[in-house]
Amino acid sequence: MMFRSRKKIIQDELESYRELINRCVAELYRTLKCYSENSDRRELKKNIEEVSRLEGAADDKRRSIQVVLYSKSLFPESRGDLLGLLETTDKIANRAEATALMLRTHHIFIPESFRKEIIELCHISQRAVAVVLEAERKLFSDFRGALEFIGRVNELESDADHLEHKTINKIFASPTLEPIEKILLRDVVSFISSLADRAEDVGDRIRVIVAKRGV
Amino acid sequence: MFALLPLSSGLFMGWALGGNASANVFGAAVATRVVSFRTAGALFSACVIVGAVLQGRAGIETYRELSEQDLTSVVIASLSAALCMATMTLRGIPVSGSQVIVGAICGVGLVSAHVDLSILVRILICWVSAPVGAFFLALIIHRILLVVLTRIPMSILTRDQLLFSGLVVMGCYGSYALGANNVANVTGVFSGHLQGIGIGDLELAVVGSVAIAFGGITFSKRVMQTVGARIMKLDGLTALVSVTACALTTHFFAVVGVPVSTSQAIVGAICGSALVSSGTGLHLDQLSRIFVGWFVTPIVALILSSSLYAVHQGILLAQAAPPLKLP
Repeated sequence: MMFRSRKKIIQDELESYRELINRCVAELYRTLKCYSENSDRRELKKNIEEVSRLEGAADDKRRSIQVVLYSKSLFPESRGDLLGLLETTDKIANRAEATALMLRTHHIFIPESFRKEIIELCHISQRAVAVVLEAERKLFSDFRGALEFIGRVNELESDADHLEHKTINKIFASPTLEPIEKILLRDVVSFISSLADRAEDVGDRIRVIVAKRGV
Repeated sequence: MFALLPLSSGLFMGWALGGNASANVFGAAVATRVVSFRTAGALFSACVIVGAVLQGRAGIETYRELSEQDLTSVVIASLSAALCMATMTLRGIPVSGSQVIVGAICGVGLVSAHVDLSILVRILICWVSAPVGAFFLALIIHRILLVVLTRIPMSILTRDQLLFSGLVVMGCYGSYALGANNVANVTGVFSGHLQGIGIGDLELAVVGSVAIAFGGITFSKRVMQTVGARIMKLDGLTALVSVTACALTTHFFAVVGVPVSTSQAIVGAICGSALVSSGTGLHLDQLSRIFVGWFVTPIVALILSSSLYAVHQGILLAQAAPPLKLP
């Protein structure tokens, strides 16, 4: 009974952490979409503050979970696995915040000709994050079922990579952009695509967690 | 009261044995904080006493039949065993209670020409069989548990919960088996020699198991942490498999009536389980511990007890001989 309540505490804390990560990335997508459509810097500032707030909340939640993991009974290997998973998942939120801040601090303007690709790239990355968070959730109901989601994450990451390369190629082929604009735009594209890379990193960790429990 | 003095060396041995062997059965559970040391100590004590009382007498009878002895030779055997155990432990040489006491009994028996070789051979076979049996048992248990844990859909936390519960249950069972098997090492040598003061095999089992339990409560905290951490270096499943195989092996030999080393049984089990899970289960340093236990420990105890007994017999002969008449 005692262990059941401990298990519930850990599960609930991790669920709210995943929710914060998901909202943070969804907010980045919304921010990027709004900014690329109207370039309103005041609204951008407001949206970025929301991304930062969610990233900060996720950080706080991660720290509190770390305390819970150390205070509650877990096998050392499970504790290590969950702490590693938390660290890797946290990098998604960090990257989402960094991408949003880049738009503001670097005064990046998204030309209309690249709007569709960038929004699409962000959408793919967001989906990769959502799927990997679902895989993470599966660890706490039927851990072997998590592997089904990991394959989908890899596909999405591959799609993101493909679109990233295509977009960067198009950026540098553009006759209308200044070289510095090209470099900044490329950085934005790379940052957005790296969200999918980080989702894939989380997926790799999940795969190891499942594999360790299958031998 | 003085009639109980010969038991003191046995009780000392029981205390040392309890301190060391409790780690093999409850170390993993304590090291992972599944149960507190206090709870583990209480569970260990209760189960050891129950095991010794219900099934400990078979091993005691084996030691009684191994060699015919009088109270003096019993005390010398027990004292030699305790001295040997203390010296080898201080020098950092791994030592098994079963092997020390059998070596000591045989040492005394050799001098008095009273050793039942058929029982000795049976004991030697069981010593070799314990770690080897635990090794193969661990292979089988690992396969079965793995199938159960992977076929049934569950959370990784539920899996931990099952392994935790298993460690506590098997810790209790291992303690029971330890009491049933190893109580003979503590007081078995006195079997048949204290009946004059109303101490039969049952009383010896009770006294011996209380000494083991006392050792588990007072002496084992650090050993549990160290051994437990070593066992848990593998993983939860391997730890559970090792403790289960060790408990089953020890219990089997308790039923057979031959005390064996739990430390060697758990090393065999760890090797078997690690071989299945990682493919690299055989560690030479661990295996060398078993070989030292098989050969060096009983030989050292045998030499010590036979020397002490020979000296004692020489003194008696010198006292009994008529004085020399000078011309």
